[in-house]
Amino acid sequence: MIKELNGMAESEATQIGLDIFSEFLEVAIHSILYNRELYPAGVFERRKKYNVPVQICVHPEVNQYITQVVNGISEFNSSNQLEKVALVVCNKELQPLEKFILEINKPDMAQTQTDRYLYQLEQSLRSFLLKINMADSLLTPLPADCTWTVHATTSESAAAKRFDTNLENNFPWLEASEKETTMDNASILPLKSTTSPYINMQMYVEESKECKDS
Amino acid sequence: MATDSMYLENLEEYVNDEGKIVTYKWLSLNLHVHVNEAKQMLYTFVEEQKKRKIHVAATYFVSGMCKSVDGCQTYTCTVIPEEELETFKNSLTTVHSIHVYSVQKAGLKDSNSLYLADYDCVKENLFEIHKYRSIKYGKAQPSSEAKRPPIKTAQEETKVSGTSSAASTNGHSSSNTKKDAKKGGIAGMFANAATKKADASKKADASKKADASKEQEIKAEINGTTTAGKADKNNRKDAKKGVANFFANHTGKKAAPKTMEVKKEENEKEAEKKKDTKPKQNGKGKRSKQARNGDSDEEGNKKKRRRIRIEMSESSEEEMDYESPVPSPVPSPTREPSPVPDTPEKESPKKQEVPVKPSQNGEKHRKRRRKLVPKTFMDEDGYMVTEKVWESESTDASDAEPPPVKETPKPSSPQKKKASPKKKSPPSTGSKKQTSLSSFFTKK
Repeated sequence: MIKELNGMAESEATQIGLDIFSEFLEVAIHSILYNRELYPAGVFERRKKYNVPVQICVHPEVNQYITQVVNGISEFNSSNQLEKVALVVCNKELQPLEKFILEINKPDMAQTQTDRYLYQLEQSLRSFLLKINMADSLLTPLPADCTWTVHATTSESAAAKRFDTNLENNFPWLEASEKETTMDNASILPLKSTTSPYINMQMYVEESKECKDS
Repeated sequence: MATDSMYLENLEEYVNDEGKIVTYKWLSLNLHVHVNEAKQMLYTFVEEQKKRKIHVAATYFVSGMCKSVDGCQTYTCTVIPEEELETFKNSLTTVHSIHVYSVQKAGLKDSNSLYLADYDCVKENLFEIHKYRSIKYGKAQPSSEAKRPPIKTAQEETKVSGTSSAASTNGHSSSNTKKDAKKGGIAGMFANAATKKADASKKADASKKADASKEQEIKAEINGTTTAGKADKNNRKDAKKGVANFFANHTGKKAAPKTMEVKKEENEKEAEKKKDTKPKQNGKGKRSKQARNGDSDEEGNKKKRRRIRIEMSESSEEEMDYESPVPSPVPSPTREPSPVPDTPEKESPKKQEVPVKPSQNGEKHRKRRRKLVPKTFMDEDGYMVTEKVWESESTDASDAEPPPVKETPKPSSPQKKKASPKKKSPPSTGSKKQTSLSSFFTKK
């Protein structure tokens, strides 16, 4: 990640931002799976990212799914049409209980010189990971038998563009139904935000206390 | 009193409102206080919250002698969550120190977050981190970059030995400990620390602490356990440091400019690699060897080139090909002892290829050669003088080339064998004279 970013063209800077975002998204998904106990802790192995230990799932099919999801999202992001990425945890009846939402905005490219070696960006991504780890202390615990999925909020044109290629790759992105997206009585827990020149995003958790109590 | 209550309020903010994980290291660096004070603050905070029946989770640092397993007693330092504190204490034969390691709102899933919590803070203050700690070595100075790799391992060793031998007391034990009297030599250092703690302790509730100390059976506290505790938590990190040192040592060795040494090492290690005799270092060793091979190949190429040129210039009586420096014909991993006979063979066909190619390309390629040519001429005084002179000859790339080229690799390939075999050849030719000596031995 340490590169000399000297007088870069804007396109290069955006590409770097996209790549870093995809890497971060993958690690964040694994961390959320671990922290919310969506899979048993034994499936996770400790690896290193941004110089700190993170828990990564070892199960091959889970990893394959996550990689495909992240690839799809990075495609949406490349056309700057991606608004939000949400990891939605649903209960048995597919009602959403929790959503870990990453809101993405267009980064302000003017400041690439201030963070040449990406050290500050790495630091802010580390604090994102720490906040994810801490989030479970502030959230109500999940019931057993939950499932999870990833929602991406993007513009219609971007979704249509990618539909054919996704179908070829045998990993189609389908439009999510009302039932899967709406949460009753949701409360927001903000986690962290960053406004680096490469990535401009904020992360928060929406949780629906009603569903959990039932 | 006033400052303490302010600190405690800050602590409460950090833990409850921001949901932070507050480790004593982080607290000491942020509030610019000594680590022992930080630990004390955390402890008083935990006690207060218990009184108010607000739930805060804490992790503790425990160190002591473990029950002997297989007849071997080990000294362990562990960070454990509150729930396991009692069971863990019972598993140790003697408990040397317990203090609060961190305070956070909810229980932690694993130690990742503990490491993450003060990572940035610690890294920022990496060289001043000893400001607030008791273990100090005044003569330790950060060394320059060049010296750093070999010194690293020595420093780690001294740290580890330092932690096991040194011990200091904290405020809790200053009044109760009996072992203080035993450690007479170090007592002076602790007297200072103890007075500091005594002042701090007067401000806080003394009775509370007396109860607490009885419960916790604190005898002595080891500050060096900061590093050791971290080592315990970050075993991987140390393992990685170990691997890094391994690499660092090898790069240090590489820097030595002697070619023979490098070659010898590589010969040994490559022989080992072939034999696969080192199962222990399989993962690390092989990686390092490959890394070294990759890195040192370039160096070796340059050195071999130099050597070849030197050797070629030494043999002045034979024809010399004035070729450009030989990059590709010198195959890179060819310094192994077993394939040594292969190298001349490899080089000679390659050498043949190189000149053959130009001839195939066309006859436009000219070659310049220096030849030792005897020349006869008339001197000033009218005498005929015959001298051997170096003359450059340019020849067309013609059929005449391959045969002379074929001849040249043959004499040059024995040159390209190692210097030691070459040196052996004069004695071998001289040995003809000494057959009488060997026959002397054979008779017996």
